[in-house]
Amino acid sequence: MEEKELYTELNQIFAAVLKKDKVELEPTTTAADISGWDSLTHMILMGSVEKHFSIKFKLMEIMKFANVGDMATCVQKKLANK
Amino acid sequence: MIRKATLADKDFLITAIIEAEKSGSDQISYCSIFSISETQLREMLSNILDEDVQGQELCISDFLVAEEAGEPVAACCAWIENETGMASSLIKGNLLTYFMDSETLLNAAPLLRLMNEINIHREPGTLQIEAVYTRSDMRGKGLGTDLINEHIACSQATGKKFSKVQVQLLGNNKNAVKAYEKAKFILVEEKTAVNPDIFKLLPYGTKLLMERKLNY
Repeated sequence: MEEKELYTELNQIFAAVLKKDKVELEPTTTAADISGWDSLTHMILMGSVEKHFSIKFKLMEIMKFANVGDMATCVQKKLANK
Repeated sequence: MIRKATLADKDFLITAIIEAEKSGSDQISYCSIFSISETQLREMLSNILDEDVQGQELCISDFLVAEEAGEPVAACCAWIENETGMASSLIKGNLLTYFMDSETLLNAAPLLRLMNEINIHREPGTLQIEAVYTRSDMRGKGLGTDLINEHIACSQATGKKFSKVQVQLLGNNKNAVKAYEKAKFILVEEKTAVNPDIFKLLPYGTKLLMERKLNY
């Protein structure tokens, strides 16, 4: 999947979970940059990303996500290996 | 005798976590939120404790236990918030995400949003106390306070700098509030849920933040 397409889908997932009209994620975006992205919402976001792309993050992967870019790279790798 | 918890204490620590969660009631929020049985919860907590990820309340290495006649009788977890660069709530959230299927998580989404109503932010750099539990026949001996004091002493001995110790608890747990007051904690924040549905998840709709300042 192209990076642009991936971010478009991630933006849609995040907007739906965070109940916002629009979300524009960047690779450097972190939870601190988006209002409403707290610990409980974080679980819903991760679950939603996993379900949408039919993937499952490994524990060590998810623990190393420092920003959206880390997560997007991981999603891309998993999709490429499908 | 107070000592660091080990893998051999895992079953006792699971009981401590669950009993602390019950806050003197029969209700376990994990079970209510994720629609899982206590048996399923115990299995999930066992898997999470096996990972031993520090900096949050579901980690064996962050527990101290009090022992009597070779048996653990009291337990208490403590960590420095954000010491690893990640908030304890995110670490715990990641663990729960990993050990739960996404369907279970997403079904719980509305309830997780509801829990936000009484969510109190944990202050980075403070010593956070969680899962304080004493076996019923050993209560009234001050074991919980001894464990907290030992956590403070151990953390300070390793050169960790912190000026506050904080604990979050539900407002219905009057005995715990009294015990913390006796241990020099004071109430600094109170958060009450507006939505009455919170009682479907928790035994009480008000969460308290109590704090003890340390003098150097």
